[in-house]
Amino acid sequence: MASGKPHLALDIGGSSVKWALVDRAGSDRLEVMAPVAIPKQEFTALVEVVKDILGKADSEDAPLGQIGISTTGSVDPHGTVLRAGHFQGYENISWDSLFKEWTGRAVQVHVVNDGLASTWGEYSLAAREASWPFSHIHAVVGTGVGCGAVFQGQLVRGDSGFAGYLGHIKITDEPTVRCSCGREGCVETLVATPAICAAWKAIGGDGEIESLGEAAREGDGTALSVLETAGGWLGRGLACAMNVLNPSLVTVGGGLSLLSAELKGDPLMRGVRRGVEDGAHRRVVGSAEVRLGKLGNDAGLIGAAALARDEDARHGTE
Amino acid sequence: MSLCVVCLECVGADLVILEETANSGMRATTEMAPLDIPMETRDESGEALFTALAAKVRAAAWSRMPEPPDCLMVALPGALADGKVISAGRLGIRRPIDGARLLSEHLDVEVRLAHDMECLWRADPGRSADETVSYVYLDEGIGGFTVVDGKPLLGRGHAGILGRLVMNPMGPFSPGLMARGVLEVYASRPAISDHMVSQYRQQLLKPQAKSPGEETPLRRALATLAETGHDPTSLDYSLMAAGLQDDDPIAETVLEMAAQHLGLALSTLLTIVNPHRLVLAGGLVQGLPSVVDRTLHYVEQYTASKPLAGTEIERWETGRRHLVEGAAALYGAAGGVSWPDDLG
Repeated sequence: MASGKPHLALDIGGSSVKWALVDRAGSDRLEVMAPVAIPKQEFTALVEVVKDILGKADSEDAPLGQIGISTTGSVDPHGTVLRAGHFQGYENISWDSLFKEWTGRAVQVHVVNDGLASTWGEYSLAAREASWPFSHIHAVVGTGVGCGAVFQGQLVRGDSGFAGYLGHIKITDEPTVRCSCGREGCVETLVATPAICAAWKAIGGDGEIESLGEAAREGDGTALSVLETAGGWLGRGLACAMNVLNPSLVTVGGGLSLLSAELKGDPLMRGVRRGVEDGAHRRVVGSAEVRLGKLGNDAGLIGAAALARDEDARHGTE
Repeated sequence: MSLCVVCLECVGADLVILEETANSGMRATTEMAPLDIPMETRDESGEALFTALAAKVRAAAWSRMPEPPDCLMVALPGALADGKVISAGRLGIRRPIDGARLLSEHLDVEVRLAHDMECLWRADPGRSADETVSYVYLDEGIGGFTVVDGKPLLGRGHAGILGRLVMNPMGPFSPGLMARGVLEVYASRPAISDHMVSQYRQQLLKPQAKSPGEETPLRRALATLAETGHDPTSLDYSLMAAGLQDDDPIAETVLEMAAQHLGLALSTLLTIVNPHRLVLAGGLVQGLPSVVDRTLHYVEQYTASKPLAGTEIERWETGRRHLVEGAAALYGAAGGVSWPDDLG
């Protein structure tokens, strides 16, 4: 049963923490606060930022209900952050234990990686608009490629928390740069921002994403083709996931998708649709809607908020 | 109580009679020779197929039993809703058909249909309530069934069917699956057989090629098939295994290609689902264990360490035994998995 207490949502990114309060007392309204910059790429600095936010959000008069956290890095099914390369020392961290220590209460903390949080955000929005249960895949394209899936109203986390590892599906035998997983030919080596910058440089650009975006906005065909080609590879990766999961809805989000969405014809999504049609079985394609996500850069924060709200509705708050 | 189980495949059917024993429940008492269901019976309605199957079952099994069984269970590759076939591409069925009722009218016994891959799940001795597990069946086709947190993953009706994984959008066309370059055209037994015959024919065309001769069982079979026209039922796993044993380059090349495609497909499955267990079963696992070794080598090569590390890979070298056991288990269960009835 829902508690009526406000919930806290955190979205821990590479350089800042976004946060919001879900006002249960009034409605499900999300009160989004100004993001807080993380001064150093160290876990101790991140901890100070989070403690500062907690100080503003939690009080004896209005104690927090549930806490939902979206974070960069790998998270196991129990919510422990295994490793987040952005921050030195951000390894094997249980936010649940830290919040209990800081508040002196048995607060309930739900932690997922940013790919899953964004997925839950997009799913929660789409589920409100749908009148039937559906399964959903969401991909996030930025400096890496994240992904999540929802099946029968629940996030698919996998046995050890590594389901939906879309960025590391092997999609080509051609030589590529080495992926962060140590292999070649992964989706991430062809689709993530560093790969796109490298492709831009290889055809005469300066290798910066800003200049690629600028050139594409001016209608430069080669810049547009770099984005469309990357979209095609993402589509091939998504097609693999679609063939396995046969979802009703596939959405794409993340910084790169937002950049492309501003351009004429949205080259990234055009490539995605082509890649999906090439790589997924026709019945799988025929039963899925493929579109841009609707929550933009806020998908992770909204997903963390939805996670807190849904866990409260499911289990209540002590 | 007695039960007759038919495992229906694209090129025939296996038939097993089970009887209830006092101590250990249902046990297989008679395994019949595979039923030959002529390819001509494949039509989009499925009527001719079920009619032919009824005649074969009556002729083969009823005469061997003192009285007809309490139930005929038919395990088949296809999507079912409320016990009816919605579609079964490998059997050529493209329209919904109440195959159980049709068989029952012909045979005058209760008939139930079961999805063959669900039978694997039902027969799994290691099955637990909330587990995430994937089953892959490598045989006449390539079937798959994934269970996420204890719930079968059906998606919109086509989830987890590994044989339909598109490996190469420009690859060979599969009329059964109506798709190009899917896993099944590289790694199902009939496809492997096709590729071996094609390679043999190509060798014959080379001017300098000495006749591959007839010195080994595989070469003798290939020579016959190349001459008489290819029959996809002819090259079985034992002939392929003999080819490997004899270091036959055709067997080596074609089976290596199959292992590579299987490895990539399994890697995709593990990367997306991250199951606790991956169960490999079917004729290939039983008949060509060295090809499974090669496949797992490719899985390791293609899969990121994190999703791979936690997954236990099991091999069931039991042929179709688990399908039969699962079908028998489904007889005692209340209904099987039901697919969406608006399946495209």
